Amino acid sequence: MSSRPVGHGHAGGMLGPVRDEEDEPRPNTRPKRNFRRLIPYFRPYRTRVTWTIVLMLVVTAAGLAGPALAQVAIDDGIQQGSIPALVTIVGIFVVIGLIGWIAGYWQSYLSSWVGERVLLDLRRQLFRHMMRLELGHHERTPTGRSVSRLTSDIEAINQLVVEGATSLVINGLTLIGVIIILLAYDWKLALAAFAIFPILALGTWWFRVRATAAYRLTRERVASVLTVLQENLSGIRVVQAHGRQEEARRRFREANADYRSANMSTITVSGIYFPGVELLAALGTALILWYGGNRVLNSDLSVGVMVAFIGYLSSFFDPIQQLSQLYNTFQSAMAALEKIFGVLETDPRISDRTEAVDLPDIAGRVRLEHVSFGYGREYVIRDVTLDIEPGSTVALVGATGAGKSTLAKLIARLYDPDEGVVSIDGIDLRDVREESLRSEMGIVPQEGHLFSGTIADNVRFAHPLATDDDVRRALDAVGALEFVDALPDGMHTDVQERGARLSAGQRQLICFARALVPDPRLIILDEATSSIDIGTERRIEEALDRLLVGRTAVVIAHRLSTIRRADRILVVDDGRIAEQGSHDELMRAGGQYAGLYADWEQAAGAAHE
Amino acid sequence: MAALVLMACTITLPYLTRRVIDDVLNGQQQDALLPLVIAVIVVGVVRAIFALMRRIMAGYVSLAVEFDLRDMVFAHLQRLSFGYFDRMPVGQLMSRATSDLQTVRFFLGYGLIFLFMHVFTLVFVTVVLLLINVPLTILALLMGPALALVAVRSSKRTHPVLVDVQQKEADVTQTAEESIAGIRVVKAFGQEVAQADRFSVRASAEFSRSMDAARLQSFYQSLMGFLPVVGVSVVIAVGGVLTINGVLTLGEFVQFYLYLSLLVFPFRSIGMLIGNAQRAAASGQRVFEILDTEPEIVEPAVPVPLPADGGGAVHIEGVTFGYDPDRPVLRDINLDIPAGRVVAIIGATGSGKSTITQLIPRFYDPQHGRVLLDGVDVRDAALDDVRRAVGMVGQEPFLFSDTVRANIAFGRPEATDEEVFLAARRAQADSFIRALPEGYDTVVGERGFTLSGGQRQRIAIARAFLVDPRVLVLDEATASVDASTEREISRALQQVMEGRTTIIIAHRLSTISLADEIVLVDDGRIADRGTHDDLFARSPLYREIHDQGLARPDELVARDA
Ligand SMILES: Nc1ncnc2c1ncn2[C@@H]1O[C@H](COP(=O)(O)OP(=O)(O)O)[C@@H](O)[C@H]1O
Ligand SMILES: Nc1ncnc2c1ncn2[C@@H]1O[C@H](COP(=O)(O)OP(=O)(O)O)[C@@H](O)[C@H]1O
Ligand SMILES: [Mg+2]
Repeated sequence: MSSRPVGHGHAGGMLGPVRDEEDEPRPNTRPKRNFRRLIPYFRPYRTRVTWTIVLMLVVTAAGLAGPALAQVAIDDGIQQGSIPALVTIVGIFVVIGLIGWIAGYWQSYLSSWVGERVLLDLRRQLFRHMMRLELGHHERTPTGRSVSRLTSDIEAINQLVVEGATSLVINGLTLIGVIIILLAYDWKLALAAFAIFPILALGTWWFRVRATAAYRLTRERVASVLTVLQENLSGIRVVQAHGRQEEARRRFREANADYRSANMSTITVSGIYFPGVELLAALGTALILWYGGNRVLNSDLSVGVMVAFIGYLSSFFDPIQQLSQLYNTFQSAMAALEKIFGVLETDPRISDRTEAVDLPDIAGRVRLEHVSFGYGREYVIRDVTLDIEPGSTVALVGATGAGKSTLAKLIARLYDPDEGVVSIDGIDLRDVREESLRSEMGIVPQEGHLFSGTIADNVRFAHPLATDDDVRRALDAVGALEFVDALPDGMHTDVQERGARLSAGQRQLICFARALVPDPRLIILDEATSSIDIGTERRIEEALDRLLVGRTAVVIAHRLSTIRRADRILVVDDGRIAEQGSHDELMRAGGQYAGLYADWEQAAGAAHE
Repeated sequence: MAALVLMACTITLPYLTRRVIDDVLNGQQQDALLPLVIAVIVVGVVRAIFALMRRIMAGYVSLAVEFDLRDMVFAHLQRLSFGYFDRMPVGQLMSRATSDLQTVRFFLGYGLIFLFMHVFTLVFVTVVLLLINVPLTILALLMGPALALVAVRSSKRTHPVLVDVQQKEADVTQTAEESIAGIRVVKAFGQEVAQADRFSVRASAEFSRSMDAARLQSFYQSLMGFLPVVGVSVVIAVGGVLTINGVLTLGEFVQFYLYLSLLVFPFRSIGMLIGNAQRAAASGQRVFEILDTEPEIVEPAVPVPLPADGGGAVHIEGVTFGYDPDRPVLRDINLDIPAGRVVAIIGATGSGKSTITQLIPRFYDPQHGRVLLDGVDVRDAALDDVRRAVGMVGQEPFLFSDTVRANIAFGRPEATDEEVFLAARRAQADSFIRALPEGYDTVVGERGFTLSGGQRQRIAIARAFLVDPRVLVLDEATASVDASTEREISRALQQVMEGRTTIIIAHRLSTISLADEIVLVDDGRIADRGTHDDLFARSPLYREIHDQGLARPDELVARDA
């Protein structure tokens, strides 16, 4: 048992496909409701939608006019032997064709416009909502899955809205037109043609039941492919460094194959359905031939009517086939809509209360009162009470995993505490409008994430209006100006995705500068200088000495030089504040901090050995 | 094949109905009605069966193509070098491996078949038309070249726009991917709304480019719908005159007209299908761009094996390297690290410390000079051998969504539990791992439990320990670890370092002090090297670093005063 090889077949599985969807909300599974929810998105574009429909009518009419005109040309032109009449009719024919062309162009353009525009709105709304969702949601949801909501699901709907809507209207209109014409010719014969409808309805019902499940599975599997891909590409350097490409490939192939087989089942379902519809069409034709033929033979029906009927038959069955084809797209889009509305219905747990206020000019007194917090079931922070004087610098020290970063995140309100209150200048953070809180706060998080774009873009991330001079000043303050200026385009150099073009320390410096630009009252530094060399760090600290005057700062660091500068040191141990005081006080107390200090001292001594 | 039968059936059906009208209803062969009706049913059934086969087969083939292409893309990506991924954002690649491939599949699965069927109809009907009347047919088909001309012109103009639309779509994907991966930063700075605006800009750019494409495609498609109308009207006019003059019988004319109208639908659809084909071509081009990218780092055909008893000696000879060849980051680096030696590399941020170590496992190839591992040029050895020989603990450890156990065993999946535990104990990770909700089976990474920075670093250290590499590189591997834990790790390191070469990049004295020798890097050059005492005595640069950062706390206090 103890010699069991590892790395295979565990839950989830490294780079493995995501099959679990339980954290996806499943609020509704009825396509009709999802579809109805899509309608309001069209409302702002009512005028264009109306025009599109009018143009569709024109296009359909122009299409249907062709055969009729040909009929007139034969009867009134050729059979009468009148060339002028023939030429006139052909002229009309061409003119109608021209109208069809122009109307067709506008109809096609407008319907693309409306469709794409609606999707743009939906996509923007979805993204805005995702940005608002609490961090916990994003920690539970793989990036790839969220991305698939914004891309491949939107594309699935795109097909319905852009291509489907046109097809729906034109074929629907054609079908209705033909039904009326057929009924007008001979209602009994028409009813015979309609006899296939009940069977069609039954088949469609079967298709719906089967297809809904199949398409939903396909959407999930696409998300899995994206998730595996996203994770693998993010970690490609590790994979290559360990020579695990084959394994990664195997896992990806699994997700890819799952997707294929889900897709295959949609193809099987529609592969049975559509030929079935065509078969029904053939049966309908046979029925009419038989019934109508016999009536003609009994002189109950004129040959002319029968000929016309047969002529219109294909205009009757073609739209039915097209419409059933559309149903395919419809199913796929509904599955995508379900996923998208699932995200939209997820409640952003941290959101402004309606009575939330703007933070007034603050002094920067931070208080935590009996705060407890946990990411999951277990508390990571337990009943912490602390008070940070305005303008003072507080250092958090303690073992990794003790809860230092978590405390910092609570102060920044990246999470709300489960119990207790976090306040600034006596105002509960939950009563403050988020935006006004953030504008007072500068955070340098442990994982310095940069966005692709220039260095300047990244530095002014929190304050897009900052001038180039502001950016320079911030870069200078953290000692980054020198290396930035040495880059080919200075601060307008593209850093590439996640800052790939910079060294880790340089990335930290940029993150540092980013936090300084909005001129925050409260600064939180979470191991902001861990990858920075001593010389640069020292320059930063000197700069900070100036910058921090009058500002409140919470600093997490492992280097003694940094910690010693703090007015007060808090020792965090297993989610509690174990000790607090100045360096000298804590040394005198002879507790945990004194122990930590001894380790430092030994380490420093080791080099002098 | 199935498609041919299908076509035959589709064409037979109207023929049968015509027979009903011509033969039966005109009262000539009244008893033929029943057989004809049965024939219609039979043909309908045959057609349905073949349509089913056609659909399933086409579906299968197109899915297989999509699957294979995606598999190939992924496999190829695995072979591409670090430099490629420095340039290529994840979101861009994701977009190509999904959205672009789907576009290709839609065309292969549906478009191609219909295109084929329509072309077949065209040929067939043309033959029939020729049988009826040759001059009129030629006249009618004059619209053919016109259509072809329009089609060619349309694809010339639309193709670049469509490529661009796909690129804009990839930009959207990239922004989405980046924003979601960086959601913490977005939230920390309260930039949710601003980020949504940035996304909006990208999405709108895609929208407006799509509209350019829609405008072009609408124009050409409706034009291609109109041209057949011209053809038909010419036939009615000329054919009508011929009929009036008695050259053509009325029956022939009607028949000609009816067959010609069979062509209108295929012509219209061909316009649309060409649009699809253009889309697929644009997407395919983007997919093949990946497949056509040659990996910059390739294995030799006949790799030289690393000496089995090598202890991990590293020789860097006259290496000059820049991520961008025009801007060297390392200049003429010469560095000899005998087997078993522990070397610390120190230097300012961005001076090139990490870059030196990245050359040893051949993540990048230098522009000049060479890197030898146990006497073998890394370019002559098998990539797998080299990478397995070098264990790297990076500055920002990446964990996969998998159990802690599997993450530690990533470089050696066959390791036993005991070995995994031992590696974790040495990295001072065992006790916190056991405190996790499910211990070693806790899923971490993107889909799992989130660890603190120091915890992640320790798992990465355990991962490197387990591989048992000849050369161990610790690149600021303990930067996020507290002093007490670091001391424990250092102690364990002293055991682990036995019998292998170790390169440490660090800023803290406690870590640096583990080294036998210290290499000082300054602006891409080796400024000095020696023991701590050597350097302290000789190098002002080192003394400065030492004084600033390595000083004892009480000295600091003294200086501040
Ligand atoms: N997002 C998260 N989800 C779940 N657990 C977390 C998360 N972030 C941190 N933890 C856990 O909470 C504890 C405290 O972490 P943290 O505050 O980051 O520690 P540190 O003191 O090193 O900054 C650790 O055990 C860590 O594993
Ligand atoms: N992937 C990359 N692409 C381009 N430039 C890079 C890349 N990685 C690092 N650099 C540049 O190379 C120089 C050295 O970086 P690095 O070796 O990471 O420095 P450090 O000494 O801090 O480890 C820096 O100026 C950095 O901007
Ligand atoms: Mg580095």
